[in-house]
Amino acid sequence: MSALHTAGTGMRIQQMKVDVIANNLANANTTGFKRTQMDFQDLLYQNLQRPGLETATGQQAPTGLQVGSGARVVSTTKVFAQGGLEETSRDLDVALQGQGFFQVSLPDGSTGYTRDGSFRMSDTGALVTAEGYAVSPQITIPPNTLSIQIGKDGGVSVLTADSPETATQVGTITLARFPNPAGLSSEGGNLLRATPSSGQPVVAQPGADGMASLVQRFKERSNVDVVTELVNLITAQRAYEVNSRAIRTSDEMLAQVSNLTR
Amino acid sequence: MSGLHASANAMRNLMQRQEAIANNLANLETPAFKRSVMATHGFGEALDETMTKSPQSLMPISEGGIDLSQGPLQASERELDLALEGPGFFVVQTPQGERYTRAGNFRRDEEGRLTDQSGHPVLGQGGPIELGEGPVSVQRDGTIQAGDKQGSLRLVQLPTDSLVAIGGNLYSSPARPEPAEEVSVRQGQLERANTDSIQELVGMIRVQRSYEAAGRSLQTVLSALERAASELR
Repeated sequence: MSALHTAGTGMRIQQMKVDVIANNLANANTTGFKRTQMDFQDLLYQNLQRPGLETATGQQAPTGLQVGSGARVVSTTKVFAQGGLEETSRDLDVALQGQGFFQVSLPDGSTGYTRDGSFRMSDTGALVTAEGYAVSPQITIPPNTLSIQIGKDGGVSVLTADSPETATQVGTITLARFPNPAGLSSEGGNLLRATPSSGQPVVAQPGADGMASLVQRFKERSNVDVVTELVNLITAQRAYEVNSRAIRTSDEMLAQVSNLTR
Repeated sequence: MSGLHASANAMRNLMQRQEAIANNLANLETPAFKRSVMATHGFGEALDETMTKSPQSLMPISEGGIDLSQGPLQASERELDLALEGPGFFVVQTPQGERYTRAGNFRRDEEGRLTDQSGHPVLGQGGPIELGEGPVSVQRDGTIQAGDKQGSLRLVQLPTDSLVAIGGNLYSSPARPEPAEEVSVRQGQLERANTDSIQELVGMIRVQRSYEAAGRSLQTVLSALERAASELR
């Protein structure tokens, strides 16, 4: 009887896998997107016979008899592998090469983290994300700016109409890094939040101390590989099919039992 | 009468095999899952035994075991994914004691320890493995260098017969673990399940057909008994 449920768990995890693949594929062009990977576990086993017990014929059973009860999804984690860099020639597009996140101030006062460095300027000249959250620490671009230079080390300097020859530094972008980035929670809008399992952020200047360096006029592409995802999609579909086949077969076997007595 | 029990027993054992096959298929995506095999006491063999042996020994007995053959390795982009190549197990500390696993999809907990997906610390030669800040590199022999911290994975070997699957990708064993010698660790790879869906489907068809045959013979015995009962009247 339990074969029906066991195969059902198999179908359910394949269904969830397809959901995750669909989300990865939908974000194949999202700047700074990191693909999600799922981890699976087997469920509890029913011990019908322990190894080493004496059998009816007086011998020792060399092996036990255990029947498992299926599989489950244990976690989904972001894979923080580097995405490819794409040139955009926009002054405010900044890509991260290496580990770390930009910090942004969220409306509720907390800090969000993102790898999406396609920044904008707000009406007050502050550097903000595409959704309008201010980059932390705050950087304000003067109104009469002619051009903006963002260095590898995070230094932001501008040439203004007042001093078109010498650059003035207006601020420094700092990055945060986590002991366990896989523990960050995805909030949508390319934002991540710290959780107890991600650990405390370590803030440092770009390029220093194992932190990513900044690349201006580039953006980081999604690290989703469309071909790999499609292959995963096909294997998920086939696995779904064989599990549904197991349900059908078990059902037919049970139907036969009920046909025995008429 | 014994034919009745033999057929019913065969059907029960076949149903157990079907359950084992369903579990193998449900775990196609479980890392380092080892398929369970049930000894092939098919209906034919059960029938042979019935014909040649005394009625006391004719009950077909299912025997289950774990097929520990190597699963294929698949590259992953996570630095804490470790695959074992060759016979051996990682050791994790659970509240119930030391348990063994080959599923190397490890992670780092908030205290910087290397743990399995359920949060059980992975044991090194001297207790749980601690990871420092920065990139992690794992050598073939299980030596881990992570930032300013070093460790060495404890890899053990256990007699196959003693392993009991307890779910959560873990095994327990009453036997004393011996250091594993012929095993190497591959970083950035995961061992896939060693379930082959074609093999399982073939097994499933065979189980179903044997089940039908056993059901039919049960029915035959039943109708013979029915006739005997009506003759008595």
